[in-house]
Amino acid sequence: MIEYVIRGLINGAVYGILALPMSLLFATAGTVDFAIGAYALIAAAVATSVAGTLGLVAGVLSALLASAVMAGIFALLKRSGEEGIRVALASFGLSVAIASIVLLIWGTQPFVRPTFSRMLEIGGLRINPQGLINVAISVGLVALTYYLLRATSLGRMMRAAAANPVGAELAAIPVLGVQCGTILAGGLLGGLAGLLILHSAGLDFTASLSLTFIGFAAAIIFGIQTPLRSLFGGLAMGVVEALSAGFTSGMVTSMIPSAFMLVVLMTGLLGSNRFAGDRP
Amino acid sequence: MALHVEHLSARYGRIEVCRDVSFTAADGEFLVVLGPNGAGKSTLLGALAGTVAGGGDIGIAGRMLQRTSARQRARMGLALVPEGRRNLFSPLTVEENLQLGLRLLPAAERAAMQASLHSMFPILSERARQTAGLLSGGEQQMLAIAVAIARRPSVLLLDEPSQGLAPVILDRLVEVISALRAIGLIVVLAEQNHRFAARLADRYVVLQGGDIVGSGPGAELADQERAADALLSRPPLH
Repeated sequence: MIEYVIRGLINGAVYGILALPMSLLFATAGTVDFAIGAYALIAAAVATSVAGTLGLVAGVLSALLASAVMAGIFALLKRSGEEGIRVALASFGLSVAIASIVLLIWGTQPFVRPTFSRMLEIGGLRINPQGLINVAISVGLVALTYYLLRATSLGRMMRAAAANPVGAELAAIPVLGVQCGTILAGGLLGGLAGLLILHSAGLDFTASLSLTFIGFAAAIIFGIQTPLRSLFGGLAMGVVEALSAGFTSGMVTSMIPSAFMLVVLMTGLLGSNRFAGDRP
Repeated sequence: MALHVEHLSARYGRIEVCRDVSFTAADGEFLVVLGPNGAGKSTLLGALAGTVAGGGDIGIAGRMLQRTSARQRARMGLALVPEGRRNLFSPLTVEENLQLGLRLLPAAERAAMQASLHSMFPILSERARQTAGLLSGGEQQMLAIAVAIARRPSVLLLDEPSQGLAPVILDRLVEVISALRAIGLIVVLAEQNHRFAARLADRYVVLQGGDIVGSGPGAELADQERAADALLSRPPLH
C-alpha cells in the first residue's frame, strides 16, 4: 500500500507540472490549452532522436515551437473576437495534429530512456532515483511559479490581466502578450514534463491526450486558479491512479481516476474553482 | 499639455451614443461633464480612453491619439478611473495595485511617487497588504485614483467618482481631487451629482443624448436651479 502511494506521488509530481500551465492559462485568459500533453509528447520524441544533453534542449525547443503555433492561433482567434471554447477546441485540434506528426515520423515505437539502471532501497521500498529527481523538479517549478506570480512585475501583470482584462488595458498592461507568453510557458513546462516521463515510465504517440486529461484533472480538482493547488492535484491524481492500478484490474483501473475527479468536483469537498477575494 | 477633442463620436456596434462632441481643457483645468443617466458621459470618457469605439480627433499637447489602443493612450498620458472603480484588480493587494501604476514611471522616480501617494492617501498605507476587493467603497475610490495618477498622466478622466459614497467620504474625495491641481493635471470629471461637481469644476459642459447642449463656468453650478435645469433636460443653458 505505502509503495503504491509513494509511486503515485512520484508520478503525480509530473502530473502537477502538466497541471501548472493549465492553471496559469485559465487564470490569465479564461481558457484551456488541451495541447499540453502534445507538447510533452513532441519533446520526448525529439529528445530520443538527438543524442545526449542536446536532445533535452532540442526536445524543449520543439515543445516551445509547438506552443508558439498555439499562441499564434490564440492571437488570431482573439483578434477576431473568438475566445474561450474556440481556443480550447483549436488546442484540441493541434494536439491531434502533433500526435499524428509524431506517429508519421517515429511510428508506434515507445519513447523511453531510463537514466538509472538500479533502484534505490529506502526502508524496504524500491524507488527509481529518477522519480526523486522528478519530485524535486516539480516542487522547484511550483516554487518558481509561485515566486514569479507573487514577487515580480510580470507576475503582477499576469494576475491583473486575469482579474480584470479591461482594467489591465487601462493600466497599459499588454494583455494579449501576457496571455501568449503564458501559452509559451505551457510549452516549456509541458516539454519538461515530457522529458521527465521519457526518463522514467516512458510514453508513446497515444499519450498526448491522456497526459492532457490527467493534467486537466489535476488542475481543476483543488481549484484551477491557484498553481500551488495544481501540484497537490497532480499528487492526488497520481496516488489514485497508482492505487487503482495496484488493487484493481482491467477497465476499472482506468475508470477510477476519472471517477475520483468527478466525485471531487460534484461534491465540491476539496476546493473551489471560483475567484475569491471580492468584498461581499 | 492642453486636451483638444474635436468632432468626437462614440458607438457600441451600430448604435451611436455620442455625436460631434468638441471641447478643450487647459493645463490644470477641471472640466465637469454634467448630465443625467444615459446622457453618454461614461461612453464619452470610454471613447477618450480608447475602451469604446469612436471617431474624431483627440489631442494631448499636440499629439493625436485617434487610432491608438487603450493601452497606447495610457502610455501617452491618459488615465481613466471608470465608474465602479473598474480599473482596480480586486484579488491583488493595495500595494500591488499601486505597483502596477508605478511601473510605467522611470525606475528612479518610483520611490518618490510612491512616498507622495502614501502621503496623499494615508489610508492606503494602512491597508497596503489588504486585498483591494475587501476595501470599503470610499477606500476603493481613493485607491482607484491613486493607481491612475501613479504613472503621472497628463489627463485624468474620472467617471462618477461620487457614486455610492457617503457624504463624509465625498468631502474627503473633494479634498483629494482638489489636491491634484497642484500637479497641473487636466481633470475631466463626468458627474450627475451637481453639488459634488460644483465643488471641483473650473468649467462645465452639459451632455444630453450624446450631444453637448450647454457649457459655463464652474461657479454657475453652485446655482442649484441652473444645474437642475441642465439635468432635467430643460432648454440648454447657453
